[in-house]
Amino acid sequence: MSSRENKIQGTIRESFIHMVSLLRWILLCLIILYLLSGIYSVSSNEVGVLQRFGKVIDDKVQPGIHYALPWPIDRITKVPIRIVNRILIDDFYSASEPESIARVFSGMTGLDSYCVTGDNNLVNVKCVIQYNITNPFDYLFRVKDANVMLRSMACNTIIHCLSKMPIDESLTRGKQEIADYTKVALQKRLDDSQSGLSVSFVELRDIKPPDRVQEFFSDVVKAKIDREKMINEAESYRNEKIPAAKADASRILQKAGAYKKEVVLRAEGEVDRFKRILTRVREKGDSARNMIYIETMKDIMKKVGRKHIMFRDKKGEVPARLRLYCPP
Amino acid sequence: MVVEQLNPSRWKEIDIKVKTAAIATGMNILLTGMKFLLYFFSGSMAILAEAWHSFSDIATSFLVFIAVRRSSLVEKKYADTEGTKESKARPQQLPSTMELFSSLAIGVLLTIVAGTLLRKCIQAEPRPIENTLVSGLLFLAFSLGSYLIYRFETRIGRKEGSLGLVSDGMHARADMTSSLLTGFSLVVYSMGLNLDRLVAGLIALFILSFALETIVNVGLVYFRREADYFFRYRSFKIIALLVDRGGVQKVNSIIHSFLETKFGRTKIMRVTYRGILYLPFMVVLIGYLSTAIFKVGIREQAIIERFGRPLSVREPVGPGLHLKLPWPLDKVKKVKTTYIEGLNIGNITDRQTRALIWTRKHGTEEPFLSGDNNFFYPYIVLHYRIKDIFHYLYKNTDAKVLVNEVAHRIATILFAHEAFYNIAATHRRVLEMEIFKRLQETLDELESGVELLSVNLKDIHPPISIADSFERVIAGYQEKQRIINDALGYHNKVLPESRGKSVRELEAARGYIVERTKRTEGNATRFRLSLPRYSQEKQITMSRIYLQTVQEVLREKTKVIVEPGAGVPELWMDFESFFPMDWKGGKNK
Amino acid sequence: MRYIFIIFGVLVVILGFVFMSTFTVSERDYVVLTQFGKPTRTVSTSGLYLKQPGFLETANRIDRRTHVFTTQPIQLLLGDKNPIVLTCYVCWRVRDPLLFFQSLLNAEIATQKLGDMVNSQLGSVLGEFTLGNIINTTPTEVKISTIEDRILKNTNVRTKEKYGIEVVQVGIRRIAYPTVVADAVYNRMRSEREKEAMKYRAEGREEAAKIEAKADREVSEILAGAYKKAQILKGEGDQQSLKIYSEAYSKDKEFFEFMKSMEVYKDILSQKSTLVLSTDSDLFRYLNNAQGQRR
Repeated sequence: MSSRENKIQGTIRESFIHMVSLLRWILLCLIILYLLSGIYSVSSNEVGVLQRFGKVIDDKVQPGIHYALPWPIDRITKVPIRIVNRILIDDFYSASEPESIARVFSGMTGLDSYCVTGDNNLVNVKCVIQYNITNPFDYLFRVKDANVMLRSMACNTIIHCLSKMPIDESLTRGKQEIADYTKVALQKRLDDSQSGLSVSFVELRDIKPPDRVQEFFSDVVKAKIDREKMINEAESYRNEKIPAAKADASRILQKAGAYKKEVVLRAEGEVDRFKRILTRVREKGDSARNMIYIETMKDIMKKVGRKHIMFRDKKGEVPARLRLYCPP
Repeated sequence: MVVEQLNPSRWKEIDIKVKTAAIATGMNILLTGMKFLLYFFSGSMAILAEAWHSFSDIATSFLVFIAVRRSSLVEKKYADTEGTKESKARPQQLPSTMELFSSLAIGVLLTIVAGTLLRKCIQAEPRPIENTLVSGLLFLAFSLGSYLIYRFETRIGRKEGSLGLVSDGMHARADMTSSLLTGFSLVVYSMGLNLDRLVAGLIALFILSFALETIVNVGLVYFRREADYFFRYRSFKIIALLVDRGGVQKVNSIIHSFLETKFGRTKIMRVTYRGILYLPFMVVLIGYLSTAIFKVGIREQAIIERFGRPLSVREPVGPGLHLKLPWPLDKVKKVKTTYIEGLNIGNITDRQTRALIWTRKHGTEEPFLSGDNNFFYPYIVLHYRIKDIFHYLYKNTDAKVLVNEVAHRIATILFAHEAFYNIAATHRRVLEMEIFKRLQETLDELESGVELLSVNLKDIHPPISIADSFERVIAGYQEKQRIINDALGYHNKVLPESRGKSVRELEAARGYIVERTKRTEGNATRFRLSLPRYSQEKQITMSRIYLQTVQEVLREKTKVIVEPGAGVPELWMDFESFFPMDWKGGKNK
Repeated sequence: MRYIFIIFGVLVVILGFVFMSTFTVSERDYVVLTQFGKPTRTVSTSGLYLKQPGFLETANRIDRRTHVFTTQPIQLLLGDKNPIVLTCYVCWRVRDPLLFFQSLLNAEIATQKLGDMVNSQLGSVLGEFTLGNIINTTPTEVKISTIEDRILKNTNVRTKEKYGIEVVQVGIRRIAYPTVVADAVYNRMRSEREKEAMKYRAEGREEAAKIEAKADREVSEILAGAYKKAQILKGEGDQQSLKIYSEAYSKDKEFFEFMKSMEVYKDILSQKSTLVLSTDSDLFRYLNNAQGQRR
């Protein structure tokens, strides 16, 4: 019995020893893996920040593959420094998407979203800001929620700018001024609070009067157009009428000229004929004249419809009674 | 004689008991010296007590040494006379008068020392102790040394049958215990818990017990004339004798025998089971003792109340780990003093409101009255801190309610002097400062213990039903502008139109003038031009035109020409053909 | 072999001990060490530090970064009784870590307390300004920066000393009017634009009328001028013909009359005429007798 016991005990002990030696290898592998866990890579649009026990020892680790001591000794944080970020400031725009800030604000207060201009008019503004992270240290360690900060400060600069500008200017030539002012003022605020962000471009996407009064603003433009249209119509009326009148005038003149010519020619013709007859008569004398008279009478008597020739008696009265019948 | 005895060449001849006692004495001297050094090094009272304890141990060891040496000499003398009948009966040597006297002196000295230590413990201020960690570790080392002595002496003592050595060994064991205690208390001190005085007191008690022991034993020897008594009675035995003669012993022995019969094979098992038996008692004891330790958080201060009355009026207990008497004796009241509390005066906003708009209800509706008899609802938030927890806890029943009431009253009074617009806008800042000033003054007067940090008039608005009207007043100005604009618009429309119309009429008139003029001029000129200039021309022209006109007029007309010579015919005109009429009636056919 | 275990065990114990008695301070934190509640020290530089092991000393981390939050919309009265609704943003950071930890516990509570203070300051500062200081076409009248600075300063006076907080920036994030006022502003805007539109249209009509009227006048002028000229021409024609006639006919006026009369008789006496003649006339005198004598 005891020998078997001994044997069992011996085998247990042997297996135990084997297990332990396997354990040794496993441990070795674990240790190597642990040491290898310190390898990391930084991609081309990032920059790495290396901390050793919390203390920053390099805040400009360039893209590539690097080695650092494994956690908890070293820790690497990667900051996307070359990515251009875009943020849309639509705080002052009409509520469209359900999660937009304007919608949230409206839910809280029951008010619309707009910005107030210098002459107490309301406008909707939409603005796009392009920025990137230029100081990774500040971005990681000096500021919390840099993006929220950016948005708030952008709204603030827009308010600052628009509150000094009348609405007509802001809708037209002030647009560039707003964008320029925003870029400069926003950057200053960001720097004051050590955000590590840098604004590269500010674009005023849209600035318009609120929807409720939009039609009236566009009506003003239409009115200007209407004015021009009316003036143009009047001018074309004028351009039509005057030449027509001139044409009429020349026509009248022409007609008068024709009349003049005609009258003169007729006179000349008549006169010419008369002169000829006159010379002939002058040559021939009185008999010519009688001839003309008798010719004329002949023609007349031929033509005349009715002729009544009355005899006068000795007393000199006309005995006949004539009933003249004048048919139409 | 002592020097002779300690001659190194004769070391081996000396009795082992003597050697033991000598070594023990030497070690005790060493330990004592180091402990006194450490005391100067660190300033801990427990170390001082320990040093005196060790000093007392030196004394006992030395006495043991003398006694043992004496007995060994006596033995030697008797050893020379071996075999004789008298050698069987060794007469006991009584300790000499000198020994007795010195023991008594030591006992008295130690009593004094113990008393002094105890007094210091109770009365003195807690002093800061330096280098605690190192000292503590050293003391742990010392305890090992004491343990060594204890094992050494008791072994030899048991073997050689010397009661003195055994009892001295017991002393060494006590020394070990107290060194351990001291060492641990020092280590714990470096963690912030100050047990120094407690431990010093305990050790002083130890010393006292030992002094008592010594005196009693001396007395017994003197009066009972037995050398054995010198080392017999230990402290607990004395106390037990005082309390219940042999009662504790009996219980102990009963438990002992019980355990031995049941489990008593190995010593370990016995010890273990004894431990388990005593466990509940130990747990209760530890639990009870743990009420003696309390923690004050970082934002708190605490007051210890002993039998209901607060201790240490000068300074409350600051953050950290502290000691007090256990439960029914001392109680602790903790108050948050650095934390900034907020208190709402007037009205409180509802939890879920997100915006404070006048036309929406966003909180309780308790109205205040302004100087111009308008209701309004202020939301005031106070930030305060408790600066004096004595006043806060004991001067007023509920300081928080007090602050609320006082603030409410001050606000009401100040508001009643100002018109609503001044409260809400123009004098708001001034009011805030005024409320702050008065409130702080009043709170200090009432000894509330509260320090005001800021008064915030967060929201002041008129009743919701009226809020509309307020806004309409301002809207009215815009309305005015609108009406003016509408009128101007009409102006802008009508004026140009009428201008246009007037121009139209003007131009038409001008045109008429020109037309008339030109037309007339033309006609006139024509007439003028066609006038004959000479009379001859005129004549000709007249006859010509006459003839021309007659020709045109009489052409194609029905004519009757009557020559005068023809008489006057009856001209019947055929009316019917001239005027065709239907004689029967009606006009034209 | 057993030694390896022992060594390993010892290593683990040492590591455990090291782990429990060290702590790291990140670049973005302050750490306040407390021992059972008692503050022992404050660490502001990053790195690895020692402390007492385990629960004996606790390392409390406090975020040192600049935080930002937005206040809730609040309706206020300006000094000239104009109501407006505002939100603003506040940037703040921890200035005294120990004081902050004792007074305010964490950032959430700090936000709440700061919000109370900033809202109150908004009310008091704005109560001293008018609407013309918020919006104005004259840029120098607009004092929003002054308002923001004042709010910042007033808040900092309290928070720096007593709360352990420093406010870095305060800015107004949105300005709005209450509904009733906004509606009136919309109406006014509408009337302004309508006024302008009417002006333009009326101007157009005026110009058009002017142009048309002038055109009409020019037309009638032209026509009248032409008429005059035409009449002159005609007159000239008449004159010339008259001259021609008179020149020619005056050579023998009587003959002309005779000729002309002949023409006339020829023309007018036609089918429709009836002649009643007497034999006394010259033409028919031979009807009486051959000698043409009268009776």
